[in-house]
Amino acid sequence: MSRSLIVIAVVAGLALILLGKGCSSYNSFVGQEEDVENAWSKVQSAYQRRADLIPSLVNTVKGYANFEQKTLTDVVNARAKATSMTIDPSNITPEQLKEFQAAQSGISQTLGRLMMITENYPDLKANQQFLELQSQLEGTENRIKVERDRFNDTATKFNKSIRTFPNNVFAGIFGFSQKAQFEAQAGAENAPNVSFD
Amino acid sequence: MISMNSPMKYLTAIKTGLLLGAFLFTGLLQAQKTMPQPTGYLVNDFAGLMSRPQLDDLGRKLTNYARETSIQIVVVTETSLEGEDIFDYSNRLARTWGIGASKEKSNGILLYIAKDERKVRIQTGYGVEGFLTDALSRRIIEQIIVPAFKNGDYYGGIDGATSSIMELGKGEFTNEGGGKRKSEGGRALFLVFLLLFALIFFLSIYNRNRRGGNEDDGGYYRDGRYDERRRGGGWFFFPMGGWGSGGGGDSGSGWGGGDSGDFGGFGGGDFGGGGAGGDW
Repeated sequence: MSRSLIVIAVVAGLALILLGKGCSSYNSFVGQEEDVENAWSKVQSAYQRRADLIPSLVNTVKGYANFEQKTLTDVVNARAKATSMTIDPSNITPEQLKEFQAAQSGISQTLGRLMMITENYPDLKANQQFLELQSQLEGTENRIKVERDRFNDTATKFNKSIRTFPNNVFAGIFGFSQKAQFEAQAGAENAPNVSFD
Repeated sequence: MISMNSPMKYLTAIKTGLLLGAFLFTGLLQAQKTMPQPTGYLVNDFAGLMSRPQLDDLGRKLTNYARETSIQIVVVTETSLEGEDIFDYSNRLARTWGIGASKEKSNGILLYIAKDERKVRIQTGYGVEGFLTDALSRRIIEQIIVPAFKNGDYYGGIDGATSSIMELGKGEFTNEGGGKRKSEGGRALFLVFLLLFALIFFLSIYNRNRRGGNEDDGGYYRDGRYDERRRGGGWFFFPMGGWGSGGGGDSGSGWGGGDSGDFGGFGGGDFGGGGAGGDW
C-alpha cells in the first residue's frame, strides 16, 4: 500500500519535473524564434532600403550617362526581381533563403557595375545629389552586412539551443526545426565597392 | 532531418563540423584587436592627439550636451586598427560599449579615429539615423574633419564635427530618463555634504574663538563632542570633491576629457551600421 504510494509519488514527481522542463524549453524556443524573426525583418528592411534607393540613383545617373542603357535596365530588372520575392519570416527554408540571396546579389552585381561606370563621368561624380546617394548606398550596404550578421547570430543561437540535450527532445516534440542562415561569402564578394576619392 | 539515412547523417555532421570550424576561425580572425574598456568619459583620446585643456573643453561640451539632450557623442582615437576594418571594428566598439542613453533610444554617436591608418568613421545609432544621415555624416567628414586633419589640427576637426552634429541633433531628444535624475541626485548629495562641511567648519571656528585662542593648530576636527562623526564626514567629503575635478588621477595616460560619468553612463545603445567613413 505505502510502497505503491511511493512509486506513484516518484512517478508524479518525475512527470512534474519533465513538464516543468518542457514548459521552460518551449518558452525559451518561442522567445528565441521571435528574436530570429525580428532579426529577419531587419534584414529585409535593410535590403528594402537599398531597393528604395535605386530609382533615384538610376534617375540621377541617367541624366549624365544615358547611353549606358544596358547597365541601367539591368539594375532596374534586378531590383524588380528581388522586390517581387516574399518570404514568410516564420518559416524560412534554406531554399528560400538561397533564392532571396541570389536575387539580392543580382542587385549587388548590377549596382557594382553601375558604380564602376560612373567612374567614367567626372560631371556625375561631382554632382552633389549623386554623392549623397552614393554615401547612402554605402551606408545601406553596411547596414545589410550588420543585419545579416545579426540574423546569422540569432539563428545560430536558436539552432544551438534546440540541438543540445535535452532541448533537442522537446524541440522534436514541439516541432521546432533549425533556422536557415545566410552563407558567409555570397553577396559580400559582390558588394559594390564605393569609394570617395 | 529525422527521415535521413545514416550516411547522409554523417555527411551533414561533417558538413556542420566544417562550417562550424570555419565560423570559429573567422571569429578568431575578427577578434584580433583587443577592444578598450569603456572609461567613463565621452572623449577617449587613446592615441594622444589632443592636449589636456582641449580634452577638457571637448569633454565638457559633450557631457553638457548629453545631460541636456541624452544624446551621447563619443570620441575615440586609437593609434592603430591593427589590420581590422574600420567599419567592422568601430561598429563593434560602439555596440560593445552600448553608446546611447538606452537601448530604446539608441541615440549614440561614435566618432572613431585611427591615427596610423589616417582613417575616420562616424557610427550612428539606430535612433540618430534620422537627423544624422549617412550623407550628412559624409559631409561632416569631408568638409570639416578631413581638411582640419590634413593640417594636423585634430582638435579643430573633432571639435567642429561634434559641434555640427550637436546642431543637427538639437531638439531630437529630450533627457527625461534616469540618467539626469541620478546625476541630480548626486548633485543634491554633494550640496548636502558641502553644507554639512561648512557648518562643521564654522562651528569649529566659532568654538575655537569662544575658547579664547589658547588652542594649538591641531585641526578643526579635534574640538567638540562629535569628534568621530565629524572626522567621518570629512573623509567622505574629500574623495567626492576629487571626483568633480574630472580624471586628474589619470593624467599619466591622459585620455579622458570632461567630467567622468556625469553624462549618465552608457545605456546599451544599438548600432545598425549607419554613418560614413573617410580618410585624410
